[in-house]
Amino acid sequence: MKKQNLKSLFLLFILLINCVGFVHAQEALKGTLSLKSDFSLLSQKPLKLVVKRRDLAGYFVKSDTVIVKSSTLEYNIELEEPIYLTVDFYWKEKKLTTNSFWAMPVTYEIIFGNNFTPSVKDADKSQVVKGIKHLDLQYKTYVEESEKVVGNVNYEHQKIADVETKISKIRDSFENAIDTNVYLSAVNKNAKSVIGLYALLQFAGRPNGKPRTITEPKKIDALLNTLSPKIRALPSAINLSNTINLEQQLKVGNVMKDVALPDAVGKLYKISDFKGKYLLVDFWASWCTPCRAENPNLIKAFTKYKKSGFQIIGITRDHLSRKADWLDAIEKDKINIWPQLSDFKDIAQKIYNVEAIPVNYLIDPKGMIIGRNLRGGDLEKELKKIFKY
Amino acid sequence: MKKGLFYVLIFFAYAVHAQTIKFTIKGTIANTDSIKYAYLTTLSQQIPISSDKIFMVVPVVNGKFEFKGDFDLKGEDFQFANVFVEERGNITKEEALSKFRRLIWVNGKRSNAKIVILEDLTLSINAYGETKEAIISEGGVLTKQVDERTNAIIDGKREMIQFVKRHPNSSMSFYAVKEVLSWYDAARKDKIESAWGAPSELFNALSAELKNSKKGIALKKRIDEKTKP
Repeated sequence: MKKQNLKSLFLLFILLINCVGFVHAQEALKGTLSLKSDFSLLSQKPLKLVVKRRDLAGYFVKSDTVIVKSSTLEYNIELEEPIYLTVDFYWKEKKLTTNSFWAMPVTYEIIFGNNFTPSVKDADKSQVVKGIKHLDLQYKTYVEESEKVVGNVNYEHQKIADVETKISKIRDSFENAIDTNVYLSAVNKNAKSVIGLYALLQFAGRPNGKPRTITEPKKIDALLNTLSPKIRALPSAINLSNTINLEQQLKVGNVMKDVALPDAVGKLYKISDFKGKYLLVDFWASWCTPCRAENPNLIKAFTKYKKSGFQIIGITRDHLSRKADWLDAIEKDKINIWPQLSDFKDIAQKIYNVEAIPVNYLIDPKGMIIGRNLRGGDLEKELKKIFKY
Repeated sequence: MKKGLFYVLIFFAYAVHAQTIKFTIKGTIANTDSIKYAYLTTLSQQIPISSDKIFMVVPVVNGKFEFKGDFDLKGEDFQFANVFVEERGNITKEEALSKFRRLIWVNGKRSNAKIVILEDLTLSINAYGETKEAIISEGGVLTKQVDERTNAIIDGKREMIQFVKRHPNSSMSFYAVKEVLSWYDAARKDKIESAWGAPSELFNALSAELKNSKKGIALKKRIDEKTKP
């Protein structure tokens, strides 16, 4: 009873802070972002800095390296929208200090504390940044509460499967609360603000592994259209719109786009080479734990249904510098029984918009997409349905 | 005669691959409130180091517990495990596996579990919920190095190079070099060098014995392949 009251109070608190709308300050979203710093009072100046930009959806955009030649820094970039900036300062003897912050097209002064730790003056002054951080905080609060509740679930004298079902339900209910109370609420309240777009981008990319850009593209498109034309014209909004369009082309029932990629020894394979078979195109990487956790299931399915016309091809998201890791993982996981292709030039990544992995497509003998992101029991069920054993 | 030779060869082949180690892990607990049982398991949420072979539970008597056992390393240098203490004595292997799989238990983050290596050691635990901070009061050469390595990862500042220099002939140092190499890619070169050192710097800090061993030569080849400009 006490726990229930606490939970209710917590949710009431979340709802109350949600009722507080964001201030629709007319801040400029485009323009010049300047980073300024004075190293003259420091015992040394940095050798270089690396400035990395991420867009509103969290995708990496660009990295610049600036060699520091004088005792002052003035670095300018043109922004089309607010960005998440990470600035790494490299000092003598390979010392590294860093700072990350949401940046608007204004001038920021970077000052240094002990051990050359950088901080950004007035980084949180912007209403847009305050709004974004407020959403992030609400998200974090829900996740922490969810994990607290899950951590208290009792396993004693119960079937593991029943407890796991209960855990999934708890996590789902918190995820739903995040979507409804945090993100959707912010989209509805901030149609003319970049905060609304930020909330929509988070909503569209959730839940992890099954983003709504794939499962509910119409809903995402409709929500995007509720935002003002000015917000819809921002690069991250245009990217979202492009993603929805691309995902529409890659939805179940459409023909799978073709691509030609090499295996480890340079032999080219095309998806169309496998026409006539049921083909699973699996995007993975050596560093992707959930991808590799799935490999025993894939081996099982491949061994069982190969003779009936089931084929798998793996496409790695490992970069060229990780080629040896990729080959090691293939050997270790014993998945050299089907073609393993590299995508070092990101050709397939662009065609299929692979931003996060694991991702897979199941294609029928005519080349039509009949399933997406089928893993574990879901893949087994689908293959049983197809091959009837 | 031929048959005898056959068995000798079979035994030899088995002995090469099987390296069974014996371990005794003891613990003392200062404050036993909410603690009645101690657990030792090689299960983990980290699939590459997880093994389902060990899951042991013993009662805590007068603030003390002890696990004795053996483990086939199957060609590896050591095996990670974790010790945790609970009021409940009926936690099953299946429950533990479910908690790791569902990331309810995350070794390294979990305050009530201490990461150890299967070897002879004694842990000194203060109280429930403080197992992660347990002190190794006796033995535990590799486990102490695990703690040092973890701190070097968290601290960055190229502390990893000092760690390898302190233990140049240790399998834990060799593991640390491999680990940093696994994180390495061209785009993160500067950051990795600043945080933990370049893989070649770390490798050079290993003993001549390790560097010139079969696995050392293979690791050097791998470093050269992966870090070439």
